[in-house]
Amino acid sequence: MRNLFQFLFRHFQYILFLLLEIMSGYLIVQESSFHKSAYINSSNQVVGSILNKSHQAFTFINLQKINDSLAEENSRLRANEPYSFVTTKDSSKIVADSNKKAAYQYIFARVINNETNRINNYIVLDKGYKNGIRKNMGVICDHGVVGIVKDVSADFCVVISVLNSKSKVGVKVNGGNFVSMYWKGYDATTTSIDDLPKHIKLKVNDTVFTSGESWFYPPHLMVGRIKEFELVNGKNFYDIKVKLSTDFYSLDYVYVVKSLLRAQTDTLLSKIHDE
Amino acid sequence: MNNIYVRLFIRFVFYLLFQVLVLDNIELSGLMNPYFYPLFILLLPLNFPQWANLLLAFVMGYSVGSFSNNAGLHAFSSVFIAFIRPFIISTIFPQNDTDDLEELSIDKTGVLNFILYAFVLIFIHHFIFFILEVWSFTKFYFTFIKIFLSSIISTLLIILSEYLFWRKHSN
Repeated sequence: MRNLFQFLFRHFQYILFLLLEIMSGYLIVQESSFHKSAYINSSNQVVGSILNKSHQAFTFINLQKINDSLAEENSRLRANEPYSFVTTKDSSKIVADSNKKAAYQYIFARVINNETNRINNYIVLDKGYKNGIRKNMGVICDHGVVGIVKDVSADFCVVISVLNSKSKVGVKVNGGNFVSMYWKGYDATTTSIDDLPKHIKLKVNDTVFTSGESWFYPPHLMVGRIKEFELVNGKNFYDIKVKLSTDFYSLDYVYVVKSLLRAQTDTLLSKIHDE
Repeated sequence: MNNIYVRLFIRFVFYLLFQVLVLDNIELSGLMNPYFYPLFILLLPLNFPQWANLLLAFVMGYSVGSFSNNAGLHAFSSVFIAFIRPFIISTIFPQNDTDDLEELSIDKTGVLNFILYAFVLIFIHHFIFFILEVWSFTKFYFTFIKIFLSSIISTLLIILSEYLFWRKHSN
């Protein structure tokens, strides 16, 4: 027994080294799993509030740009208001439309920390549980998708950016079926699609839309345009590069998507899985 | 400023904030991703027991990482360079040069030796960090260029800061 203690004492630094590396390794594994929430990250209150302070200090350098993007969005929304339309047929009349039911609501939030140059990028928003944000909600901005909420604290949340090796977005191109778009790294403006079958006709600049099948994002939201595509001989699927419409370098105001109907499909599915 | 504990604490806070509030927000390119905080580990006191330095390195890496959701990656690479630091020091610096020093600095150890010392440790740190971050060798060419360029930028930053601040330290 005494020998054991002597051994431990003499090699204390090596044992400590191994212990610390094992702890770090455990943290790495924890942080890299998509679904498990890491217990320390930027949704942590201390880290969040430091980032928030620094964001407030730097934010007004960008005020002009932010104003422009908000004004542009306002004008686009105004174009969709009923008063922007005129009736073209004499026989038409306006009816209160009860066929439609609200499916999505949006919670606006601001980006307080944004990464674009890592392999796994995360975004921190200044709203959290108190504001109705929950795990697995989608996040969009005025022209494109941003990511999915990974972890929520009382006042902050962490979003897995589309620019993350673990993130996938369900999209549709030219009336084809739902395919998945993912990020290959290194270029914050471009993503890839690998599983679009070759019978679908493509052109450069065709628009890529969200499919809306997973309830993360509303359907038919523009994601980007096709930058280039290639059909390797003998393969049945295109290699497509998509130019994202979201500008990740100047991300500021974003909307967290609250899907009102998702709870129903989720309970149905979990019932099936339980059987 | 004479107390080593006070100096360590100030360095810890300053390097941490500089890393997460300034450096992490500067976009150089996808291939350059410098880290400045390893300087804290490079300058850990020579007369502290090794276990204390390992713990300090862990805390530093962990804190930097919590700002970008990769505490594990930073902690792992930081602890590793803290562990091999004594071997690197005894290889690079002539023995009698470091004997009576409390901590290393560019004016006391010679410029070239210090640059070599900084580059070797930074390179090892970045190598472990970026390889673990990608977690595969498929894009090894890109990753290696990234490791190399980032190490050069980090070392430059560190040497620059040594020149800006060593006078204050030696008082």
